Amino acid sequence: MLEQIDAIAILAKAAQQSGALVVSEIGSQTTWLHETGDHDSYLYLSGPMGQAPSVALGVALAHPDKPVLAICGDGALAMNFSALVTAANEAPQNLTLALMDNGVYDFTGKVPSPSAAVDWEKLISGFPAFTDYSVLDAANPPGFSATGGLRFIYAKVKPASRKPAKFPFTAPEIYARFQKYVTK
Amino acid sequence: MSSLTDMFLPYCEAAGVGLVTSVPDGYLAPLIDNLAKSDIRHVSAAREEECFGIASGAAMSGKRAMVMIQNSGFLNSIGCFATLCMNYKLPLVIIVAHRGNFFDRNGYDTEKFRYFESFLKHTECFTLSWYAYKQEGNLITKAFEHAEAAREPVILSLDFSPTDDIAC
Repeated sequence: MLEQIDAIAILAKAAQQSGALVVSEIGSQTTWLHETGDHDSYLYLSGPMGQAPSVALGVALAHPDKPVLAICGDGALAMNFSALVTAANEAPQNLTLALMDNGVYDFTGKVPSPSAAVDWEKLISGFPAFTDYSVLDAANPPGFSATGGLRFIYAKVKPASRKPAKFPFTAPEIYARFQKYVTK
Repeated sequence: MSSLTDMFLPYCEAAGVGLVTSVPDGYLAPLIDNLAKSDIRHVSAAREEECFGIASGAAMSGKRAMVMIQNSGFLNSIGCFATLCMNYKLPLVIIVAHRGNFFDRNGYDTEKFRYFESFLKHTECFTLSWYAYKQEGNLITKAFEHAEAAREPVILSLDFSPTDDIAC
């Protein structure tokens, strides 16, 4: 089983190669993504838990010509299940939701997440608008396109064995540089 | 003076609104209906907190983005509003159906009014009363101009009197 940072590194590399914009969930997804290497196309969330799929939907609708990847955690997505309903109703062709499932709230010292009760594949199969469900495969990384449909990538990952480095940006700094990148 | 129902869409178009996301309410429904007649992207969200997320994503992508929700839905979403919209200093315009005022007929709305008033008072969010300033032209444009200059969300409060055509 992959460490979360390794799974995110696979997605980040694929996103860079595809020119995808990346929205990362607060806490471990944002900090691990940053540790894989920083990029102006990353919209790090730092504060609102569970909002990565919603923010990514807003980005995807604002820029339908660009692929958008949301990197979500299992505990956070469980907080905002209804984002799946709204995304499915909009069905943007350029949005991929990737789920890092480590079964715990990573920053709390390993408190289990109740999302362990969820069969994510069955859940996503209940939304016909999702055109693809896949399991992250290190040997066969995904690609992202603006016309690939609404997709879901699942990765079972290990709880982190260490704390990530301190995250260096303020929220307004993240906003300013992302907007500059996406509107250039 | 034309009603808000008549002027809402022209105001949005003149303001250059790129995306509106909403959870409906009796006050908001006729306005949301009008969005279907335009090219403005409207996203029907399942929960109000999502509206803050969706609008934030669009705003950080360079669009003028607007949220339309009821005061009770705003109260459901205060944590997200604080940690996303306020924390990132996002120039959103948030139209709030401020139910439960002195003229509202539904007694069950009263507590929504009381708690939302308390929220506004204690957080000092920049808020504009539609009823008080409706003679002043396109308040949506004015709200965006303030939001962008001050780098903060602006709440446009729909606090109608019983004689207004949209009150219900």
